[in-house]
Amino acid sequence: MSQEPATPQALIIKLLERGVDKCAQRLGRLSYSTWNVDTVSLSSGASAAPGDLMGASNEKHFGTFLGIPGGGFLVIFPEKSGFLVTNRFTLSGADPVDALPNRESTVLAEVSNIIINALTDVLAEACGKTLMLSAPEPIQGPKKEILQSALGRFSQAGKLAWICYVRLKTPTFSSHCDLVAFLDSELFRLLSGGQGPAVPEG
Amino acid sequence: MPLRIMVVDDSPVSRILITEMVREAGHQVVAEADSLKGALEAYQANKPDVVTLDLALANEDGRAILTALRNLDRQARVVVISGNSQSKVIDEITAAGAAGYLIKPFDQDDLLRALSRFSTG
Repeated sequence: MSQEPATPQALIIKLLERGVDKCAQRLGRLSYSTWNVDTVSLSSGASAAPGDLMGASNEKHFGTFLGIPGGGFLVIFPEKSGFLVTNRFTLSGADPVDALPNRESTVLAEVSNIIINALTDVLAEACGKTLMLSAPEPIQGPKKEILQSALGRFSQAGKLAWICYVRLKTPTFSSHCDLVAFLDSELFRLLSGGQGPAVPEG
Repeated sequence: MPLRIMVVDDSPVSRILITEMVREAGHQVVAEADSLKGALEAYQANKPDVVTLDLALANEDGRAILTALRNLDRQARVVVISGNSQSKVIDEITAAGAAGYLIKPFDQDDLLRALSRFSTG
């Protein structure tokens, strides 16, 4: 029996799964806990509706946007999870960090930068390019508004092709976070045509 | 012998954590900077034993800061600290004269190990 060739979408999902596994490992290391990948899904950018992806809750969340050429990423923590991750990450420097304005947003921007770099490393290897993340931009508010804000960057340029939604969970302190990857058609094409070897974690 | 260290990072959180980790081990942070201009001025004013440098600052590329520091002082010892573990980037940074490369997240032991080769006592 011949095997059906993998679709570009299946290749991208596989690549993203490999990347978000590394994100979960980094999040675990920096929060002294275990994080698992709970959900990975891919949808067409044209049909993306923030309410469908993120629900309609008005609960406050901490979001961080990071861009790359041809795409971008959102990391979103619910308020309580963000607070707990912040405390765990800053254990060694708790007092000076407490004095920072917007403590959680500032800390979670750095946390997001660290974990998304693990995903970017996998994508860079796959497409044979160097990918440098832009500086993290904190966005606070209901999850739907955070996503809307990120989507606006792409829909204005009419470039968004695919959105990948990922949920990470930790049983260690009952928390979760959402990762959203935005890919334009050119980046999607590059990634789906260039599966490479895994990047060794340093 | 305690090291005199300069920390270049646009994240106040990273600057605080690095500073706390090295101070606990008896080293001294003599300057902090979050930009190319600030890094060059602080380096000339303080002549640190070693610089820790973030790779991606808000408005500047850490690679440019590494090059500028090395142009200012060929003996400058710069340890790049970044979440980026792309092999091409690490190769490029090493070729540009970085004395070390530490991948985030790291703990105090990792940081002190990266700095230990510069201790003279």
